[in-house]
Amino acid sequence: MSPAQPERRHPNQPTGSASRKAKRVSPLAVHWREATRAAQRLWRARAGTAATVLLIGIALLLPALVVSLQRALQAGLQGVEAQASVSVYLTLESSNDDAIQVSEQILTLDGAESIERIDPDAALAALAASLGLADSLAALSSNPLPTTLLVSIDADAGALSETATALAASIRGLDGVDSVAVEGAWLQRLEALSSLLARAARLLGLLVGVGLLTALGNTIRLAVEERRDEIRVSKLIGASDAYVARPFLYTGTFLGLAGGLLAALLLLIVVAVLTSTAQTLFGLYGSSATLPPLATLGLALTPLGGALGWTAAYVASHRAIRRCEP
Amino acid sequence: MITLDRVSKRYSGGQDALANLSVSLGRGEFAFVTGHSGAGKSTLLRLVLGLEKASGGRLVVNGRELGALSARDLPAHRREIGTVFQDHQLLNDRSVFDNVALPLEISGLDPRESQRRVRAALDKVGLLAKEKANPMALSGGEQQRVGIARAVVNTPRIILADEPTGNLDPELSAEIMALFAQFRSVGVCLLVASHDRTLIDELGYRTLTLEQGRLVDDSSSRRDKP
Ligand SMILES: Nc1ncnc2c1ncn2[C@@H]1O[C@H](COP(=O)(O)OP(=O)(O)OP(=O)(O)O)[C@@H](O)[C@H]1O
Ligand SMILES: [Mg+2]
Repeated sequence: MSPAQPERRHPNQPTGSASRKAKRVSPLAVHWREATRAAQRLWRARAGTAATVLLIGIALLLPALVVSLQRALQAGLQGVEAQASVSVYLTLESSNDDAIQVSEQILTLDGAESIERIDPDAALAALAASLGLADSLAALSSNPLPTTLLVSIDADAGALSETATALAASIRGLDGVDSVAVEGAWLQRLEALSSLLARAARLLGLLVGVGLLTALGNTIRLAVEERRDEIRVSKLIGASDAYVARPFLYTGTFLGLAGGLLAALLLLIVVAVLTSTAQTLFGLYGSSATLPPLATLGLALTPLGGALGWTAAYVASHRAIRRCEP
Repeated sequence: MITLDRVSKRYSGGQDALANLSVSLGRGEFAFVTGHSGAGKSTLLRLVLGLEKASGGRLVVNGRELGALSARDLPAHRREIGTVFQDHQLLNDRSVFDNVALPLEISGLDPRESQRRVRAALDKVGLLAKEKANPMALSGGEQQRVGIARAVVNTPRIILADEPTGNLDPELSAEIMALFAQFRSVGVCLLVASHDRTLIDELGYRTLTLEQGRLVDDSSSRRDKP
């Protein structure tokens, strides 16, 4: 056997490159190549791509809508809650001095911000004026109305309706107080609805996430199967699973990003349509609140879709590729 | 570069495809593997490439003990070996050029350099004119030469070829063998499965003869003897 002659040029080595270590493409260029190819493939299968993107977009829109609804309700509540108050009716025999004393006691309690005292005579006069019964009421020998204290709630003390309820309970125990009423018990119901919506949004988000991962994973698995031959041959000649998986990761990420973007656009449209209706509704409840800006939610949908797409593609492609044994 | 030490291979549910095989091939060595159909030629090549795991014995290729190689390390091992498959294993969804370029793309070679090498390889197998053709539009022999071009394009240190001249006429066979000889002369180790007795005898390289998975003859090369 003749000794090998390493100094001689490899027969397939083109002139000019003397070393075995040839110029490599940068990893960035490889990523760019795979990304473009994935995009081209998606474009060639436009119909299927559109269907998948639509599916992702609508699926992501659902929890996003519930979140928006909840945020809108929350915003509306904040506008209304500024008016939350507790009405305290003192006993008829309470004097002016008693009223002042009770007021001072109330102001030491948690959640009470300020107190407006409505004098029984003033209240009666106002009532008479509003009813147009000045003469008949003037005939009353004594004023049937109690002194009323309107306690406004400290907005910083937490959920307003809860604060109001707790405050009312404490006031009820004070001397000279006949009865206490929390204005706006409906607020509490709306707050309960709001937290229900928040919980529903989380649950729906989870379900949609799992559903999308499954559906997208299946799409990617089919794409891998479609290119079985290429994958098998590539692995035969030394491609790693990670190398073979890369285009599919781009496919999944692109589908997810596009779906997320679509969801964001749909959300913007829905919110635009609902805004005027919502403002009218808020106005009816005496709230000047507008729909909160949903920019963050909208912006988050696109990367969220991308992340979902990548995850689904990673899991599904690696599993499918491992099965393509050469 | 390739050392088999009492290697055996038994496919699940089958009889022994290889039994107690001990062979060693050095740098720049050219060896034929011959034997009847089913003798275990392809199995031997598949073991060296790491497509199959040996059922027993030790296999060292390119300084790597294959039994100890993890699935993660296998791709790098295969990239250092150029392989001509018995059934070509070409991709019909791309051109001849892209088929030959595939190993270079996987290795991450610069596209311009890659283009030069692919052209050079296609030129060597006489298919430069067909670089844009689809492999399906080629004859069996032409497809085989595309497979050969793909095997040599990445300047491997080991070339495994399973019936590389099965569909070629004697002249083309001789040209392919001359190409292989060029690689051998720069230190590449070649293991070629063939049952073309005439070709084997004519070239006079080392010849391993298998019979039902056993090495029955190891005739060393005539041409390299002093
Ligand atoms: N994947 C497999 N599963 C089970 N048995 C197999 C498998 N591959 C090959 N065999 C068996 O192993 C033995 C050797 O097969 P191998 O393909 O190595 O023969 P060969 O020498 O290459 O034959 P040919 O000249 O026809 O290509 C045969 O008996 C064959 O049936
Ligand atoms: Mg065979």
